[in-house]
Amino acid sequence: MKSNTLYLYLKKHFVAGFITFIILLFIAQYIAYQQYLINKNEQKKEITNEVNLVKEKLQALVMYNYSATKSLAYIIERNGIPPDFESIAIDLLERHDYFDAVELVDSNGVITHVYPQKDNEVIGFNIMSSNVASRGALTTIKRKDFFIAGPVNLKQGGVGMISRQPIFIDDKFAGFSAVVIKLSTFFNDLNINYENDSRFDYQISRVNKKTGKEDFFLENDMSSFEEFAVPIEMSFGEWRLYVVPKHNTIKSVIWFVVIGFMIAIVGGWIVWLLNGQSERYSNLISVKLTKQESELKSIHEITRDRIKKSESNLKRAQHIASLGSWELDIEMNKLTWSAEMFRIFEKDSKKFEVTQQRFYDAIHPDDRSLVIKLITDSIMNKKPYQITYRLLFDKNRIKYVDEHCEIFYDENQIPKKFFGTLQDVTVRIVNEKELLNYKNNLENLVSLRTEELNDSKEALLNLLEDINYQSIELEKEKIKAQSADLMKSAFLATMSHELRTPMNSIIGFTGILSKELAGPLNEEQKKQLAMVKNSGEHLLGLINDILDISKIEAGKLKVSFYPFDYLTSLEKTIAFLLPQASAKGLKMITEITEMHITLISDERRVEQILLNLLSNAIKFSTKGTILIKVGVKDNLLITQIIDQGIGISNDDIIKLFMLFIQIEGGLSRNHEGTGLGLAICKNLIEKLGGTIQVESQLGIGSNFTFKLPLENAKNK
Amino acid sequence: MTNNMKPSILIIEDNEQNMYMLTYLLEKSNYKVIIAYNGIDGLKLAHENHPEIILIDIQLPDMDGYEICAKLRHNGLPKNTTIIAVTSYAMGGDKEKAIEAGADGYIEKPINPDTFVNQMESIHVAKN
Repeated sequence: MKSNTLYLYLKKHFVAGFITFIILLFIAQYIAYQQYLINKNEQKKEITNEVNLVKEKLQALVMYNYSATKSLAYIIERNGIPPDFESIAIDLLERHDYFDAVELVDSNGVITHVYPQKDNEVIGFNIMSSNVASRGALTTIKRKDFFIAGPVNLKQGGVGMISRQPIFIDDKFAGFSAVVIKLSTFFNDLNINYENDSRFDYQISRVNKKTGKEDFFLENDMSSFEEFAVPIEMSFGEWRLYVVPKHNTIKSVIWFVVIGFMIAIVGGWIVWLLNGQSERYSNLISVKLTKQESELKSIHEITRDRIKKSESNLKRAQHIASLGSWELDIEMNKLTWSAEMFRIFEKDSKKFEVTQQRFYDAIHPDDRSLVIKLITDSIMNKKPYQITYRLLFDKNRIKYVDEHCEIFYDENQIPKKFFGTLQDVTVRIVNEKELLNYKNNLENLVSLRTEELNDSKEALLNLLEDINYQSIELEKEKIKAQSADLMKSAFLATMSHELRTPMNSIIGFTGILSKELAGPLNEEQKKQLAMVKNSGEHLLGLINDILDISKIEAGKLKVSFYPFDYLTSLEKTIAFLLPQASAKGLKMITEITEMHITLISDERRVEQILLNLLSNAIKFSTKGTILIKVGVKDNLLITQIIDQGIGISNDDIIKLFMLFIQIEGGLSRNHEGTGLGLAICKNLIEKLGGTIQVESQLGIGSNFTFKLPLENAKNK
Repeated sequence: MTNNMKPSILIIEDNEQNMYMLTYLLEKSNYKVIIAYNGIDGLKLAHENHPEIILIDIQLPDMDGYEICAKLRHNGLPKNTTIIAVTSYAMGGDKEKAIEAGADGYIEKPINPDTFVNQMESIHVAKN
C-alpha cells in the first residue's frame, strides 16, 4: 500500500514537472527560432548590400576600363603609337587609381609598351601564346569590341583582369590597348580584405558561354554555395559574384537552444519538487491531526475513568479517615450529609432525615451553645469557621469531631451554600492527651538528669586540666630525650673519629718497629709488639663499629654507588681472613656461578659486609668448612655464607640483628666483639637496597644469605 | 738503591705523629721528603720544588684535600706529578671524590708499614 501511494505521488508530480518542461522547452525553442529568422533576415540584407556594392563597382570598373582603353586606342588609330606613351599612361593611371598598368600590344600579340615598367617586365611577351588568351583575343578582334580577359595569372604576380581594346588602322587590326587591374587593388578600393574578411567569403567568376563552366578569379571553392551566386550581365558575357557569409546563422542561435533547454529542465524539476513538497506537508499535517484526535479521545476516556475512580476513592478515603462532608443550601434550607456523616453520627441513612435541629441535638450539651453561636456568627459575618467539639451518645459515650466550613456566594455576594467537612478525631485527641502526660513526666525527668550532668561536667573539666598539664610535661620530656639522643650520636661520631687518629699512630709505629727499620728486636720484643698490634687492630675495629652505629642512629650513614668488580672484593676479603681461618683449622671454599660480576654499589661497604659475615663465620666455628656461594638471579646478586659452627636457636634468631646483642655471649662472653656487627650489616644491606636472611640449627651450623641489586634503582 | 735515583715527595699532613711516620718510612726507602703542615704551605712548596709525588691528607685545618688537589692541578703543576690522597676518614665515595678532584690514587689510613711504600710506588708507576 505504501509503495502504491509512493507511485501515485511520483507519477502525479512527474507529470506536472514534465508538462512544465515541455511548455518551457517549446517557448525557448520558439524564441530561438524567431531569433534565427531575425538573424537570417539581417544577414540577407547585409549580403544584398554587399553584392550591390561590389556589383556597382564592377560595372563602374568596366565602364572606366572601356573609356580608358578606348581613348588610348583612339589616340593610336589617329596618330600611331605616341612617343609620349608614358605621360599618357601616367595620366590614365592617375585618373583611375585602381588601374595597375597600361599596355600596348602589336598586331602579332606581342606586348610592346607597358607602364609602369617597374614590376611589369612583360615587354616581348606574346599574349597569344596561351590558348585561352588567344581565343579571347581573337574573339575581340573578330567582334572589334572591347573585352575583359580574366581571370589572368599576371606575369607580375597575383590574379587580375585585363581589358583590351582592339585597334584598327584602316580597318586593319593593329594591336590592343590594354589596362591591367589586379583583383587585390579592386577589392582594396572597396575596403574589402577579400582573402581574409571576417564576415564574408568573396568570389567572382566568368561563365564560359559555350560550356557553361565558370572560371573563378579567386581560390575559394564555391561549388556548395550556388545559391549565393549573383549574375552580372556584361556586354561580353555573364559574370557571377558570390558573397557568402562566413558564420552560419544556426550557430548564432545555438546558445538560445541550449540555455532554453536547460531552463526547461530546471523549471520542470522545480515544479516537480515543489509539488511534491506541498503534498508531503499536507500529508504530514493530516497524519498529525489524526494522531491528535485519537490522543484527545484516549485522554477523554482516561479522564472519565479517573473521575469514576476518584469518586469511589473519595468515598473510601472518607471512610478510612472518618471524614464526612455536608452541604447546606440556604435558600432551600436543606442539609445534606455524605454516607460517612451518617456513620459518624451512628444513624441509618435510609431512615434518618437530616435537619439542622437534629444535628444540634447530637452535640454534647456543654459544647452545643458554642457550636450554634459559631454557625450563626458565620452566617452573619459570611466567614468560614473551624471548630472541634464533642458528640454525646448513649451511656455518656463521647466522640470528638473536627468541623471545617466554607461558604459559597452567588454573583451578588449573597451566601448561597455552606460546604463543610466533619472528621471523627476521637482517637487523635485521646492520644494527644496521653502524650501530653508523657511529655510532662519527661520534662521533669530531663531537668533532674541535667542537674546531675552539670556536676559530672565540672569534674571532667578538672580532670582535663590535669591531663593537659601532664601532656605538656611529657612533650618537654620527649624533646629533652630527643635532643639527648642526637647529642649522644654526635658525641659518638666525634669521639670515634678522635679515637681513630691515635690508633693510626699506635698501629703504624708498631708495624714500623716490627719491620726492624729502627734496629733489630729480640724474640720477646717481637712477640710483645705483635700483641700490641693485635690489640690495636681489635680496638680500631671496635671504634669503627661504634662510629658506624652512631652514624646509623643519627641517620647520617651515607652510601655512594659506583661500579666495581665484586669477585675481586670477595677474593681480597677471603685472602685477608685466610690466616685466621687456617689458624683454627677451618677451610674456606667458594662456589661461584659467574665468571665476572660488576656490581653498582658502595664498594667499601660491601667489603665491610663480607668481612663482617665471614669473620663471624670463622669466629663461631671450630671445625669443618666455610662455604661461600655466589650467584646472580633476576638482577640480584645472591651471596650465601654457610658454616658448620655453633648455630643459633630459633628463639635467638629474632634477636640476632638487634643492637648490642651477642647471643650466648651475654652470659659466657666466649667471643670477642661489640655485638654491633650484624646490626651494622643489616643496616648497610638495607641501605644498599638489599636484604639479609639467616637459617640456622643449633650445633649444626648457620647459613647467612644476603641479596643486593646488581644496579641500584636510584642510580639507574 | 742509590740516593739520587729516588724522586722527591711532598707530604701535606697536619698530624705531627703521622707526618713523622710517613717521613720515617719514606726516608728509610731513600726518598727525598718535603713537608707541609697545612694547605697553603703545601701549595707553595709544590710550586717551588716540583716534587714528583705529593701525599695529601684529606682533613686539614685550613682547606680540605680535594681543594688542594684541584688547586694543584690548576696552578701549572707538571702533568706527570703523582697526587695521592691519604686519609683515615674513608667514607663511601671518598676515593671517587679524590680522583675527581685530580688525585691519581688513594691510600687508606691506618697505613700498613709493610705495604705502604709499595702501594705508593705502584700508583706512581701506573700514572707514568
